[in-house]
Amino acid sequence: MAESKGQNDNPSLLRHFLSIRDIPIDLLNQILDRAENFNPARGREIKNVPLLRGKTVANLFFEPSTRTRTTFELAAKRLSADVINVDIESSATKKGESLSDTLRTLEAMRTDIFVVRHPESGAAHFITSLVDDKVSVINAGDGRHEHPTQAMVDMFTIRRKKPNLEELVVSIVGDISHSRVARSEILALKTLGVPEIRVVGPKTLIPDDIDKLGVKAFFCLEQGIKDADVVIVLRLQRERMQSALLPSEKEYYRTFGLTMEKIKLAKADAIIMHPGPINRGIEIESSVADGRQSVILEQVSNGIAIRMAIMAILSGSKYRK
Amino acid sequence: MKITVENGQIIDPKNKIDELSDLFISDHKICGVGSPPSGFQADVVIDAENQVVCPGFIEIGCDLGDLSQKDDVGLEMELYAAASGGFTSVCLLPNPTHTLEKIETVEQINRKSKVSKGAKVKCIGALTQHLEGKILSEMEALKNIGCIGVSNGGNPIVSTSVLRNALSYASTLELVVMLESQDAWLNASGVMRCGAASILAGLPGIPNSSELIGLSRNLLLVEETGVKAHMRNLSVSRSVELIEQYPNPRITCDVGLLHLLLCDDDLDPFDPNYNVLPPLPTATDQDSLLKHLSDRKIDILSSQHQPIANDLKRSTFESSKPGISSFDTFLSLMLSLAEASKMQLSELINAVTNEPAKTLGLNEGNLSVGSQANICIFDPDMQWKVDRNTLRSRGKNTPFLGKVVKGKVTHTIIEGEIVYCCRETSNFE
Repeated sequence: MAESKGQNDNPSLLRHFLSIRDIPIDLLNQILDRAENFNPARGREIKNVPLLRGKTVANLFFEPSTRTRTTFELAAKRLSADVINVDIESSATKKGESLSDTLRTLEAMRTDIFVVRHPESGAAHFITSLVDDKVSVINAGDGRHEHPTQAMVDMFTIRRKKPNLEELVVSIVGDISHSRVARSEILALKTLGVPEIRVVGPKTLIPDDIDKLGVKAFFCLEQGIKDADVVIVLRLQRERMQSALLPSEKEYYRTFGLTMEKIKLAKADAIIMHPGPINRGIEIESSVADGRQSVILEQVSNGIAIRMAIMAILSGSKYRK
Repeated sequence: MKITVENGQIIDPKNKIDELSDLFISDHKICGVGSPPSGFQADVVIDAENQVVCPGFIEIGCDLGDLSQKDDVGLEMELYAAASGGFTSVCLLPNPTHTLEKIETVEQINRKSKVSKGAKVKCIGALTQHLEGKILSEMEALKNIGCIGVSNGGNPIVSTSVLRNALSYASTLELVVMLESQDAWLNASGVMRCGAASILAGLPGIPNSSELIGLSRNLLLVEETGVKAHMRNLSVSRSVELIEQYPNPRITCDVGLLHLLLCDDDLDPFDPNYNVLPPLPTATDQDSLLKHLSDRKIDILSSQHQPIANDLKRSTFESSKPGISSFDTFLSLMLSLAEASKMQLSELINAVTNEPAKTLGLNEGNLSVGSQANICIFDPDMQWKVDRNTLRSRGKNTPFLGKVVKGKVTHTIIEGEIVYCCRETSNFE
């Protein structure tokens, strides 16, 4: 098997965008700063830029997604790239060989960037071992491993609202065990110097050794969000009931659902985030999701700017001598 | 054939020998150490200067890959790979491609082993039919054709009552049972040890309780049935304490060499060659396991050799098949363990020669006069690069690919015949 290629063999250049884990703070900030340039002031129209003209971006989704795929598509189009969307039943490509065939076909169409979402951890890394040297791979979510672009969207959103990152308390509420978003967020928050990161949920959804990642675990929502500056609520997957991790949605909402009453415990100016899609009345009360502290819709629009920044940096670093 | 092995450093843990000396072989047996029997005239003289001469290694339980193809040369290739790694006897465990429950299958493997230029196979027969954990296999027949033990391989028997009956029946026949300890449910979706490393990797974890529950269940039933049992592949330190609570001389256990060298923090979640069962231990457990091997609370060191076809490893970590190919690298890695730990080389050799021979009741694993002439001679200093093209096993699935290691087998003598002789020099300059 070909060696899978690191995302940044040369630390100043990004080859692929696979995980937050090895990205130094300078590079995270570079992405965030670049995204600022792509994010127009309120009310102003976003202009297309020709940075990816003549290039092709393939969205390779082995798992259903609307939001992530759409923002990648819009981001690529704003950079003037051509976009192919490929939805693949993951069962047909479980074996490396058939996946490799699919990739060869797409490579033959001269794809420059693969955006990959896959239900298995490490899938995007694996794909880097199957593609040509000139191709970049962006991880759009792999199993329960990472969702690095979503984490960058959230960092961008937090930084705009609370620029003093080194003074913040950030609480992430929900299914930490199965969440790739939570993993990437924890890594990004740590790299950016956020001093207190909390994870909040029942013990069935919080991995035992999570404290070794430098976060504090809380098994009670009220304590977990007390005096927090940022509360990130994660989506609860319905299948968690089937695997006996939770008794019912009703009980989860009662114990860990974020309600108007409960957010009073966080700081008065705390912001409420959610990577989407929202289950209203399960992990979050409607009036919280739509309330004045919520920045959920801003996360969505920031998603385009961040993905533009990442694709621009990837394509720029390849052609830089 | 009469053979003299001259000037080697003889390490024979059973007889507490560790000295420069000569070894003499005739009629498939060892006939002298130090001085030859009167009138001895060698046909072949091996100069073992700067080399170590020790009993051939005995693998307590391994998988030799897919052996389902009748005319396949897979078995021969693996047995030659074993011999080139210093192994002279290997216990073959049943697996779904060769369940070792049919007389013909076992006889065929025994026949191939007899004529093959390589290590000799000792078949471990199936404990239950098709390894399904439902109906007992014909253990008496298996014993009669030479199976030296029975096992369900890596397939846990879910029904406690079937397991109890199987152990009880094996006990009737005085067969040693080789048991893996895992809980079928806790093991179900996991691919690595639960802990910080598995959280970061986003890979589903297997908690230590899986092995501890499986082992507790095994120990209670072994005690009740009085069967002679061998607990395979311990990977949790507390497992040793559990076994100690059953002071039964009929229970032995082993640990895999790789589990003493690699821990969950070393695991590369993007390299399926690190995928192995039981999963790599935590660093803390690893230290205690090594200590337990040194204290002889763990009896045996195993290679856990398991060759896996490339296409089953060419995937993400979690959909790859677990298993590590180890015959080729075993000696080098054992030497590096001796160098990195406080364990003497002779203690490690003891755990892979004398101890497994005792558990299996074999007349080998030592250099006593009259023992079977199964001998490994190796150069402890030769450096070589682990390269997939030069590995002799069909399985190229080792996390050590590309690494430079030290120590190479130069000769392997099995039943008094030179089965393997290394003609190459180092591939690493």
